[in-house]
Amino acid sequence: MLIQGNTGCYACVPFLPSLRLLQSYESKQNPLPSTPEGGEDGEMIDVELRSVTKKFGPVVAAEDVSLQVCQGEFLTLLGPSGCGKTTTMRLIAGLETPTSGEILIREQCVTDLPPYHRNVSLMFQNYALFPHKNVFDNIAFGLKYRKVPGKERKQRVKESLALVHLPGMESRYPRQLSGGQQQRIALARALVVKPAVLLLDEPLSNLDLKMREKMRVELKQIQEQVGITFIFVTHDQQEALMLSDRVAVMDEGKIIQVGTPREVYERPRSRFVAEFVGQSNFLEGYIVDTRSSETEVELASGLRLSVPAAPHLTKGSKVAVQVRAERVRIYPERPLVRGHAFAASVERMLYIGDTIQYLLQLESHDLLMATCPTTSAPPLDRGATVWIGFDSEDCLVLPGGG
Amino acid sequence: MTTIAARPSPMQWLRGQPLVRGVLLVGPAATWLLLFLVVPFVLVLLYSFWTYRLGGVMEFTLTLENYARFFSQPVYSRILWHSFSVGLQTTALALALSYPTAYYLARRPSGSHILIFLILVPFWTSYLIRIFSWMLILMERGVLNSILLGLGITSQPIRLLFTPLAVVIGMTYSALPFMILPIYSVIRGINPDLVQAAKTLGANDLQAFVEVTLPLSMPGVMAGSVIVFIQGAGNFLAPAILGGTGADLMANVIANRFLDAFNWPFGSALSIIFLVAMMAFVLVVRKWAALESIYGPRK
Amino acid sequence: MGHVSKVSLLTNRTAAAQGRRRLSLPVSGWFLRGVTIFVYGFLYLPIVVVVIMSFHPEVYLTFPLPSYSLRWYEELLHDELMIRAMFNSLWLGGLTALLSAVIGTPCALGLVRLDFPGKRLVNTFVLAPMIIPQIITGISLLILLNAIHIPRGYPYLIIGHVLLTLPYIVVTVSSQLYGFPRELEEAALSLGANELQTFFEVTLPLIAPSIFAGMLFAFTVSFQEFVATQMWATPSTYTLPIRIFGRIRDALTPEVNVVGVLTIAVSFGVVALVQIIFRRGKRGNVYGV
Repeated sequence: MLIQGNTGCYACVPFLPSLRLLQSYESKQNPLPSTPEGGEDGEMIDVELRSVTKKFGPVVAAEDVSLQVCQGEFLTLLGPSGCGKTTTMRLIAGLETPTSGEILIREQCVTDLPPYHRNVSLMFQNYALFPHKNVFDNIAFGLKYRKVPGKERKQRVKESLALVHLPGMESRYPRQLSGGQQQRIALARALVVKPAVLLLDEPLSNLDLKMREKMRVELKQIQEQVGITFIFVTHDQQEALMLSDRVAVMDEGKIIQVGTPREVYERPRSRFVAEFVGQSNFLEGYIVDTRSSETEVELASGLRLSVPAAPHLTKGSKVAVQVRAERVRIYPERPLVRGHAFAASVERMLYIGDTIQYLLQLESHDLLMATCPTTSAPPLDRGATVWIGFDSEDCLVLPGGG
Repeated sequence: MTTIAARPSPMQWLRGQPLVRGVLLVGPAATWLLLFLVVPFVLVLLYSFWTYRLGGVMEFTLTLENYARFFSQPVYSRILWHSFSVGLQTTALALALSYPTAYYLARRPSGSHILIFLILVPFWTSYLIRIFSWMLILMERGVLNSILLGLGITSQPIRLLFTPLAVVIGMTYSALPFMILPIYSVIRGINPDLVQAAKTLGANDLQAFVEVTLPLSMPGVMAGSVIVFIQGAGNFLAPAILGGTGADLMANVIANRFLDAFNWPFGSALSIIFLVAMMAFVLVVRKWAALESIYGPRK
Repeated sequence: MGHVSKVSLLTNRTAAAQGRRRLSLPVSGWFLRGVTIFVYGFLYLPIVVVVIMSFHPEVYLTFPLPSYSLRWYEELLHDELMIRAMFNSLWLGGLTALLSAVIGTPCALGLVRLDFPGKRLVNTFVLAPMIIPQIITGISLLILLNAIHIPRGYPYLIIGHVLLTLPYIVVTVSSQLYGFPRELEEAALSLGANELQTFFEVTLPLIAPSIFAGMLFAFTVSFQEFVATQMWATPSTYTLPIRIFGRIRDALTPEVNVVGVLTIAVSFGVVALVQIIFRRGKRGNVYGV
């Protein structure tokens, strides 16, 4: 079940033991559940990138990117603008040629092949439906160039339209369709040719929120139904967590971390990943004591925190302690808990509907953000004095300071 | 379904050769321009240094007499100067009429497309016919005089045709679309929030215009002015038809040398001098205008 | 001019409101409207005059017209030379448009999409025929073709007209290409069409409106070209503008008005065609390509 990297890159199967070996550190005492995410059918790797670098003149858009994507997997490339995720996607598509490195699709080297010789399909942010062709001709385009005979073409177009819940639309033109409908036709067009991998470049960004949420669900359903590998590019971390079997977080042309949504969220490998995904607090300080079961960090304010052991970090190194905002709990008075508890006052309260976000200031003048569900308690006023608490296990020590 | 090419097809090889593709696509046009614009121009330069003998014969001995003739006979410098001055007058008049029009059109919330279309329509009808029509309008028994006399505004027909004014009118007329369109485009592209911002910060309408719209519209003004000036100074038909005798500009003189006098060397020299003078003028003005726009908005 | 003080928003809002009431603009809306109307009148006056004068019964043109007659329209029908000139101009214009499009469209593609050494140079030179005074273009081509012993006439006219109209095609097609959504081509490539197939199936149909519009522009420019053409034509190969100019010079003008009306009709037709094409083009796709 395991494809190990003889490439030395991130393996694609998110099973526990190998993952633990590959990860350079682990802290949580609760192990991850052993149910695999996504639907892998076997060991086949659909897409592999080996040390791919792409330069545009002096600008390095992608640097030494190595990745393996399993058959049937939904992988998301996640990162801020300019991180190289779109470049990586275009390299896989064949719209760009790498400066160095290799790209393999279904174990065949395609690095020098143009897009029309690779078995990939694309979906774009602005749908890219041919405006001068009707829906049928749009969807049948790929079939035509694969020399699929007419009768079979008609049948497959019909099937793909049914797949995206738009039967009978063959004679319409793109301009007559809504954004959501156009996106679905684009999906039908991309899938009807049965590609090895479908590349999606922020396809939902042009839709309004409600349509976006609806399409997300549909996209995931269709992917599971059809079983084709999806590589999804987005900067929306919620979307990435929601849809993916695995997420590859990128920054400045490099892959920072690859893992299941849960791994990326609960065990970020670096401050960048922790910051990009979800809401975190970062408390900066130095390691003052290292023991086998725990490490002690002293913050700039003088406050001391006990955090899970970080054997790879030495005494004296500069670190940032990360605590997720939703793990910070608020109590009316000093709680009797095992973990950390501090007195604090409410600096700011933001009512978001289903959650409330608080900014709290401790006596040591450190600031912490806390997110509470609205159901737990009514909103607190500014200036209210409370106690906050969080477990040691909810802390993550990350190297580096600011 | 996946095909792997054994070796690159011609199409694929082309993919990696932007230079070859560039040459293939741009080649024919570039060759056309090279052969029929650049090379002839070099020939003109060459001809300007050759000698002309009476009777339409050219002798291929290098000489500077053509250029000397330009400077020694004041009539030619006068014509060059006159061409420039007419060009400037046309530019100024066209600007005066075009800027308000362009401004008005650019600020209309709707319907400006049709109005711009209406401005272009006369442009696509024969310039020759329209200049000729100005003859009919400006002549002594022409449309304008008849109307003025009929309405009692004048008691005698005004002599308009075959005057310098007629030439300027004719040139301004043809210049209008070339001035209106660039200014319109630029003003239309100015972010309306900028003017609003200026107003909320305390500027009244006039100040907002001077501080925001005017400087930002300068690129359009410059673009239009350069085109209009070149067209005006190098105009042939307006002076030929509306100017009468003695109204010759450089274009007329050059044409005359080639068609009637067959003195091609001198005609070539005149062309070179004219082009160089014009390019120099435009470059100088552009430099000056570019400097202006740096300081303009910053007051 | 007043110095705009940029103090706090609150205080100056009232000042601005007062300012607008106090200071009346020397440039009011009426002035703008007035100049605009004058400009439009100024632009259309000659066209109107030509049309009216074409119905004048006399040889010696006066205003207002003593009566209306179709005399000169009939005369034109018998004017063989003028009719021949018209046909010459028509087919010359058509040929020019075609050649210009064939040469200019790839040029526009290359200039917009590719980067190669010398690109800026080509860019500048492509626009040159539009900016350089036509007399200069006229004499220089004359000198060249004469030097290689090609007799004046149709070769000069065709070569020269293509030269003069090339910029119009390149500009028109380029401007549509700049906004062209490349994703359409990328989608086609990923679906299995190679570069050539993508061009003919996706790119070309979508830029066809601008190519056609450019051709119409080229036709129009060629149809009314005079200044450079006079250097290239001969007594037996002449275009309509040359004949017209000759008539004006010889002061035999009444028929010229009729010819004018016809050329105006042709031009109006061309411009209307362009508008229809672009209107249809815009309706035909989502991007307004």
